[in-house]
Amino acid sequence: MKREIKKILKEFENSEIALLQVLNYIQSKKGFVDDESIEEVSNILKISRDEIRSLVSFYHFIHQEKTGKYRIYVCTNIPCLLKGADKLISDIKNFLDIEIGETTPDGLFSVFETECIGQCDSAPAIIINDKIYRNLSREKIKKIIDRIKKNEES
Amino acid sequence: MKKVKKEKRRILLDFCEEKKHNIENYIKKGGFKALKRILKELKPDEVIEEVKNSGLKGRGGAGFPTGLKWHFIPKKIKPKFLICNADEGEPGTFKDRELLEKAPYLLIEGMTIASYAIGAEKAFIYLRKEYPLAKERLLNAIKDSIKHNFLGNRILGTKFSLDIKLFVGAGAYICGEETALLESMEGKKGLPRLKPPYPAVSGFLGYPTAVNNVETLCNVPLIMEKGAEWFRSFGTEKSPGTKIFSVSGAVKRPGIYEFEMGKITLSELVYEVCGAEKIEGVFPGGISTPPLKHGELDVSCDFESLFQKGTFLGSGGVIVFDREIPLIKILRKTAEFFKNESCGKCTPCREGTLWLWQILKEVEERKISKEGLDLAIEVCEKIKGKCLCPLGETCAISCEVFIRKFREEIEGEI
Repeated sequence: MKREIKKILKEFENSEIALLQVLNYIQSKKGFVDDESIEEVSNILKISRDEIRSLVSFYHFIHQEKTGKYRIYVCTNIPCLLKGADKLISDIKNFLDIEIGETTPDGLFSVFETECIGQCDSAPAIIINDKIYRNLSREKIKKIIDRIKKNEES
Repeated sequence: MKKVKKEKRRILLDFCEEKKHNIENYIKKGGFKALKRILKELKPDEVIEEVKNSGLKGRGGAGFPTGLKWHFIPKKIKPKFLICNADEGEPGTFKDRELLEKAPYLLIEGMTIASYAIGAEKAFIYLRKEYPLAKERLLNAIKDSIKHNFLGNRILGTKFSLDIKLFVGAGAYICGEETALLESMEGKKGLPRLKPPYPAVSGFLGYPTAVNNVETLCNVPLIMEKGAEWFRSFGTEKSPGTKIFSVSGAVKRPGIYEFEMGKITLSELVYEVCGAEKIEGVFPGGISTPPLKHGELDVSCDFESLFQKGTFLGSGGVIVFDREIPLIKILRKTAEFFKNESCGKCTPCREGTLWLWQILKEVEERKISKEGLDLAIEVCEKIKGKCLCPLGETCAISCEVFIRKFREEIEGEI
């Protein structure tokens, strides 16, 4: 991790500018930005832990708490709402048997609501980690979840 | 479907390629011709003058004249920065996504010309986290442009050098506001700054900075290649050029459409082009712009005409809604969005959007009677004119107009 942080710092030439990119990197690697990571970032970039914590709490896609390996962000804004986002959310909650913001006991999935993700022409849409899924239905989302589960088992 | 003649006036979308979004194809289509000519023949001031003459207005939502923005950048201070605002977060807006994913070289050329014009040697693209495909394509486009010497050190053998870096956001609508974007890039929370000073004078790291939207910058190579007069042959006198609309919601053909400014009405766009059938209302430029009722759609799509109707062209994110889901739900969700995205810096916005959402939620759940709508309007009145940035203001205006226009229908629902 140290090496990657230093690489980002080198690219952006400045600790402050590199900071958010570093946090994005840790989030994608670990699934959340824990105290240990904050400590490390603070040491390398020479930015106070409190300042780093304030960023972690500000941005939607950076989590303070441990999340599942697959983070499902369901768009609930109006274009998706008009195409059944409500129904999609309840389907996902049912399939995984968790509420919004929770993680499945096996640590595989977390579900979050999110604002417009710019896929309004293919609503309803979701993001799982860094991948977009469009035009979703009950059947499609079930298939996606089942496929992830199957891949993880093997 | 009635044929809409104006549809073929595509100047930006013609550069969008589903598969062949590579540099060779872009060059074949005439790409980088403008940049070559500029670096050989024109002084930076002449570029600014041409863009000024074209009448190009910012396509991010506010519609500020682009040439003028560049003109305000002081000549003598160094360094200067160009930042492309690709943090397209306005609900219902996805036109920049199309350009970023399918015409990345058009943006790179636009940014290179803009940087030359204002004297920047360093530029950034602030890209929203929600666009992973755009990230991949932009990184690739930057790499290939450097390889072809359209970017990087001593571009095309001249003294002009430019470095473009991709800066990815982490999910915050407010970072689309230019000063919040600058704060975010400086490693802080995205809280808007007090203006003035404007970024042109004191922007990124305190240096002169031009912040331009993706679609705005994509227009620049075309203006510089074909001239301001050519650009002015599209659209209206006050709003020249074309505009990309992203249409979603209760229509048969949602998607991206480009038209000359002011040469198509909202009614033609949603009914004839996009195949809407039963419409209750339309947000013309994302949910930050007050909705129009189904009887008010006979209005030209340009900055001035929509303003006269009490709303805005905004980002061109047209959301069409019917009665499939209750209007009170759409209204509550509108308030909820701003409540979630308020950065918390100004009390009227932070508290006001929360109250507004709470009241509307209670009306929706029938916990309070329809008088709650009066209370909601009162809260809107108290937010207006009291915030640093437009977030609280647009929430208040949009929700208030929504309630006033659809009051009868909403009362029927509850």
